[in-house]
Amino acid sequence: MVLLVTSDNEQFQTEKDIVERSVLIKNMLEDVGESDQPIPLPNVSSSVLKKVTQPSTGPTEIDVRGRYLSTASTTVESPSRPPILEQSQDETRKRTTDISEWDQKFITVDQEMLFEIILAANYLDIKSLLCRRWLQDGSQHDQGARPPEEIRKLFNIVNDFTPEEEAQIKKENEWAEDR
Amino acid sequence: MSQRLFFSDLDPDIIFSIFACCDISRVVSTGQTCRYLHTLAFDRSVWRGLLLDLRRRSILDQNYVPNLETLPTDEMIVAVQRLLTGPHTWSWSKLDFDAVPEVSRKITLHRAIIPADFRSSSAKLLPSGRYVLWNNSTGLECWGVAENRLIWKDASVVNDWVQDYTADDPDANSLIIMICSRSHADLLIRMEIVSVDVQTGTHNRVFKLVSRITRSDQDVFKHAVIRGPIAAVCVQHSRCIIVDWRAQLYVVLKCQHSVSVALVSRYIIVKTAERLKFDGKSQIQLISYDTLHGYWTPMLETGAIVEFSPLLLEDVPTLSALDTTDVDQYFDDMDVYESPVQEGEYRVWIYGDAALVSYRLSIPTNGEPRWCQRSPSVDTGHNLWFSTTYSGHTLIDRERLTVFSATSVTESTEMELPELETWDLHLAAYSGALTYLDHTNSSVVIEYYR
Repeated sequence: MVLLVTSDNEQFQTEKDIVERSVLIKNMLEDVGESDQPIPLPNVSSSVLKKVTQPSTGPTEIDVRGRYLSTASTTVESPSRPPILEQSQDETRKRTTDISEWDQKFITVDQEMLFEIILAANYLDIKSLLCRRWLQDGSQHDQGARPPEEIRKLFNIVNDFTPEEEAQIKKENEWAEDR
Repeated sequence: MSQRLFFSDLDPDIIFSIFACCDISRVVSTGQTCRYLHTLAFDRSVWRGLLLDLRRRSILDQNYVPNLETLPTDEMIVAVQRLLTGPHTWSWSKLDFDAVPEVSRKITLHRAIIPADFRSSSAKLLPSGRYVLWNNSTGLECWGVAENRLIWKDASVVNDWVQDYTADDPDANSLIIMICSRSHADLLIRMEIVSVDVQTGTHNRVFKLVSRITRSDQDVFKHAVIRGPIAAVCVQHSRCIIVDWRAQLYVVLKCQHSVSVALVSRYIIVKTAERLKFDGKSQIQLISYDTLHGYWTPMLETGAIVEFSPLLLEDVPTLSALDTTDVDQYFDDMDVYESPVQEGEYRVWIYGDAALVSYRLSIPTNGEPRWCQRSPSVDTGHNLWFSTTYSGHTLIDRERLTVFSATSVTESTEMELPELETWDLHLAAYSGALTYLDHTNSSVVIEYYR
């Protein structure tokens, strides 16, 4: 077990093999060696760390690829493990998790928490968390990537293209839909 | 956090990390949301990563885009577009109806040794572009393309007739070759898998299944496929052997009708067609790897002759069966390709008697696999003996060998190829590279098209 201390001074006992999925923590553990010294995480708050390391408990959770989802409609490959750190980095491109009805719930989720988690994942260097699921297919599309309009809505992105530019860019990029 | 955060407040490095896990269609879609993300999405480093990933998945042949490190972003994008559409000179442009397929790169292998019976030879380029498998009368050989070097040769099948072969090279150091052969003398058939050390040329026979067939067919094996630990091949039209070579397990499926097989991530795709019957049934079924757990037979003794106890296909739970009876009851052959730009999306080409048709298969993480028809059946006028590329190009023999394009359904086009000396051809799935044997110079030639 490893003791983690968050920015708001809360302490977390976490299994070593789980926290070691974070490259930052892994390197820190190597530096301190076999001591019981707590690992300080000054850039991560307890609420975010919970999202990153704890198994699903609340109304919203995040899956291996950093996707918010509702526990009620979720099956994660191995439920005994914290879903977020389920996967090693070299497996980031594999898809194993089964999610349903995620989309409707997603819109209602706290966007700021989402950004905090992105920042924490970047700080902790957990590649799997920073993953493509942010931009992934949703229930409204049978196939393919989420269209730009929806990505804007989900991530609070302001469209600063002129209508002409937007039309031009859309035309230039149609090929990537691969119909 | 009191202040509202915007996506554009995130550091470029974070956005790049996210792009590093996205497929091409998602990067492009995100790049259309605002100026900041557009600049980042079309950054050279992002596309370099995307193309390296295509290379890792053997979708981008290393000879097709050899100069990745110096290629500008717009040319990398063109390279990806070409995987979807096929070579530019394989389709008529509006201005140029007399266009001819134009070779951009020609690689010639092996000039020294003349095999005893060149006529019965064939060659296949692996999707990575690293190796050519060459079946000549003295057995199967593997050649390194970049170094023009014989890497490995199987001498153990000298008295056998190699009928089908394929290989999987997930990275530069591993090469797994599957050889399906039958003996000349008796009715024994062999399905073997060898793991080749590409440095030393030595091999380790990791799987060997030997059985006896009851009648002497010319072509016993067809549709050999290998992907990770799973390999499959069709035997005598209506049976399909599936093996997990790492676990030394196999299962034989028996179908009522003619069968073809393909492998994708987590699933085996089986197509059956009732031929020689006007209203014959035709179906494509998905069997998940997990489903097979209850059906595997362990290999007890390597090399011992086993008696197949086939399992009926209808007794195996299948997912997402697609009834294709209306469209393709006479089509026997099937190619399944992963989309270069969308993960979990596959294009399925089905072809046979003078026509081809394509389907789209989606295997989402959240839910059941789904099928839909992409294009109606296209009349080619001639039987199709060659595989179809991702882009819908195939070869037909009119007076001369011709590239047939089924991509634009309303105006499918044909283009004459420059005179080739042989029709023992292999067509690469994404690049469209032609691999053929040059009988006069006793070499294997690979031609990439512009």
